Amino acid sequence: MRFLLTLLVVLTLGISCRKAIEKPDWDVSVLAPLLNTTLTLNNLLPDSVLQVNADTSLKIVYNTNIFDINVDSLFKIPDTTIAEIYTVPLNLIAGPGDSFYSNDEERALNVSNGVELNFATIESGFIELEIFNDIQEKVLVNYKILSATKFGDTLSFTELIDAGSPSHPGYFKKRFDISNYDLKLTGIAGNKTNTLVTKAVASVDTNGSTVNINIGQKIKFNNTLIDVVPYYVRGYFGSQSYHFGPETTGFSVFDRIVDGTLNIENLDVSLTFDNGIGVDAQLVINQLKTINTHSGANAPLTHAIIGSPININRATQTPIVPEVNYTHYQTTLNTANSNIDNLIELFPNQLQYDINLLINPFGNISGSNDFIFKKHPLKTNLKVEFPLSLVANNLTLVNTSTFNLEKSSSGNINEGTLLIYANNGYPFDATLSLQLLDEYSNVISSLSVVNNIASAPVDANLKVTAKKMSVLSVPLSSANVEALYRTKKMVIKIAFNTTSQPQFIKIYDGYGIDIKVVGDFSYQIN
Amino acid sequence: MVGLNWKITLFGCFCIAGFKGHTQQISNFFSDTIPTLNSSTSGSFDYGSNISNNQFINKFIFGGTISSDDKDNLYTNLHDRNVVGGDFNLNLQVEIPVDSFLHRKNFSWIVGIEHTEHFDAKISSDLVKIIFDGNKQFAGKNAQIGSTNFNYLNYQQLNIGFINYKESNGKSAKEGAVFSIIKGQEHQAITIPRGSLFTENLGNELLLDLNYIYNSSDSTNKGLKAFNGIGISTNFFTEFNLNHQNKVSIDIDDLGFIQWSDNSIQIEADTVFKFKGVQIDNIFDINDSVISSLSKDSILEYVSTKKDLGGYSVVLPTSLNINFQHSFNTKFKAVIGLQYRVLANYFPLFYTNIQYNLTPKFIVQGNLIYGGYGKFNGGFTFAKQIKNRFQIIAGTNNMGSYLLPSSTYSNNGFLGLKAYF
Repeated sequence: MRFLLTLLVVLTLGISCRKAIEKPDWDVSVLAPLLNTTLTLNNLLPDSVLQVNADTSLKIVYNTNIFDINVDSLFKIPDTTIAEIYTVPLNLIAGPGDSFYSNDEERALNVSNGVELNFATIESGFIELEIFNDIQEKVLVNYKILSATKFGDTLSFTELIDAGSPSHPGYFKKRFDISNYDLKLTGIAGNKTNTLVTKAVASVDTNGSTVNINIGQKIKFNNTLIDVVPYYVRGYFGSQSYHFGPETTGFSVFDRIVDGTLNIENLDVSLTFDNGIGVDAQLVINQLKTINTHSGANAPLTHAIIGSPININRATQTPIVPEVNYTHYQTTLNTANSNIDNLIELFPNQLQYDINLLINPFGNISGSNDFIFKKHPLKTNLKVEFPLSLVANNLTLVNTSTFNLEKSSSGNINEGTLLIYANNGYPFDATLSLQLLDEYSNVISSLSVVNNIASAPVDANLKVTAKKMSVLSVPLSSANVEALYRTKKMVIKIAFNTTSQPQFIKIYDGYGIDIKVVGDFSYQIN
Repeated sequence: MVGLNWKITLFGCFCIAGFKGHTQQISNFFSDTIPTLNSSTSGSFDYGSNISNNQFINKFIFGGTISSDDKDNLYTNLHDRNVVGGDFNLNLQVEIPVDSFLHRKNFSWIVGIEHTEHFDAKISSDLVKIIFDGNKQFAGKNAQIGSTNFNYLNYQQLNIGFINYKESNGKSAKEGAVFSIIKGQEHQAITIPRGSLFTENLGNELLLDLNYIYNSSDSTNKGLKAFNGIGISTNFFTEFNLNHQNKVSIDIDDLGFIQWSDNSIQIEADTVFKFKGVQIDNIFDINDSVISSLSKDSILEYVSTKKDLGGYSVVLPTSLNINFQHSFNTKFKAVIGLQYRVLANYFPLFYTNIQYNLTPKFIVQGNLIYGGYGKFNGGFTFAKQIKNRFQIIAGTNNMGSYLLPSSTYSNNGFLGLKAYF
């Protein structure tokens, strides 16, 4: 027994001692390639804005939508409750199956802006029906919305409503999905607008008993339209004025440029209006300007179009897909007829517009056949196109990348140098800077970069003849390495200066900077 | 991970002073001449290297900063065959005498359990330099990393055997055998017959010419409960008395194999890898995925061309031991012997012991060794018998590892306890 106890004590001591084990550590010098990539303008500009000309030079083509006028802009069908109350006019005795109420009813929709609709196809929405029954026997109700059809079938249901009393009426509630229903909104006689037709028939339950229906007893129907979104509507939209703006929209082509100047040799900008709505429109652009929210600069457009009415013809409806023939209006903005270069060269990130819109300026000339499809609005687009023939001065692009270098239990970097081998095929030199941010985007540290990326040599036609190799180094002190381990975002800035200034330099497809990042580190292994 | 296991087990071994498995070390003292009912437990650790001294090994195992001086000392010992290895063993055994077996008298059954861990490695000189100083020193040059292998085994076994107490030239002697069923816990091995790493002068690319096979037991099933393989082994031992004063002992231990389960992994490659950095489409997207591409696991994936699941078998590092014992008188005797282990990167170990009985119940022994996983070393063993019921034997062949850690290259220790009933 004593032997076993001794053994137990010794083993316990042994297990407890194990916790005291430490890791060995030693330093190694590592020289290894880390990253390998080719930097092109595609990396610096938003997707799909670069296009190649016939001579393989590049141009920027950027399309952006400024604003749309759609069905929501013109009118809305708000949620509406319409009540229908049937009050028994005299005392009756009704047996099982006896019908005591049948009525067709017109129900007006509260369509905004005075729009007179005669037809609508619903994309989504609901009708919620509540029925209250005072009669002391179950009542069979057949309820139809005669105006609502789907593939030729009328929206209809039959339901048994519980018996009730004037103080405690029988109650029924049901929600109907009216997606894809066609609504004929011309009333019973077909000469109204915005009007639904319903039909309610009430009879005593066939399995019930004969019941006395007294004067003053009621059956009440509450009919509520909920979240109705039309896919297509037709009618007369009125001769009405609308004002939109000042409103802003994003302009992303220069998102990454934060500093410097850029002279562009040629610039073509077109402003187009594509009308998919079946109404004539007269549009006045009160103001169109570009804004750089980073620098605070802005430039309003000066052009004959500003303040002048633009008449845009109505679209026509077709029996096939696409359902609409758009009408188009286009105006060209260039440096000869406008100050568009000022608007572009401030590297805007926003466009601001202010417009007046008058629809049906000539009245109801369509015979109440104005129409609008939800997916075919009146679109206003700006197309900016310029060849990459430019002079860049300290043109600085910035990008913030996520970065997460976690400490490892098996080893960590002590210090070292990042070597960047840049084989430049562009006719500009580039200066690189790196900034380390924490998770809250606070600057932790800046890394100094020794040397620049030198421009590639060019010939008499200012075309690159060969790539130029530059070696940049980023010394990493132990403090820098500590900062790297805390970094969650890395800001990379590159400032460009084109060669052979002040001549415009064309950028060709196929140019690029081959970049290799090599780590030369002292690494502590645990 | 394997290294850490070793550090833990070896340190644990220090703390518990070891429960030895070197049977012959213990049986040299108070040797039984007739079967007795007894139980013994023992433990031992043994590690060494022909390139790294104990100061270096101790830092590697128990923690500490390995300095430039430590590494320079290591490099001065590099040669064609750089080896490192070690063992850890725990053993519990019961000897049960029987009146007769197959007409033999003086016969005992032995039953026991045993835990064994073993590692050994042979590492090329350039790989040693890369491990401890990195690849920058080889910029513009090829580092040869072939002719390298590593093997780690961790298993438990159930032992059943017998001891036959015989008479040889008028004196008692023993012979016996132990048969074991093995539960394989963990195995890892890598063999690199051919390999070189070229570091481009400026670090622009690494060129790895590699022929390797990596085997691992089921890495998802770990710990003492893990049953990742099954095997068998046998031990044989015998003694011959040449005359009244001289005796020869021969042991063969761990002759057997383990078949690892079908969930084991084999990764192999025989190709040239060129690494020019992680290829990325956009330098502005240096995100987590790029950094993880540079992780250890990703690089391992990168240099594996074939990965299979399936069972395989491993031969155990069988140990052969032969010694000659000469008794000068009843108090004083000497032993000289040779030990070798096959398939274990082991150099022949020459040893000699001088044993002196201070009293009939207290023996001290001086030990000298050369070879094995280390170089020359020496130590002492003490054996004490208590009230004719208990024996305790403790010692080391490597006192030099404590007194001259910078000049000795191996370490071991063993402790045995035996109780008679």
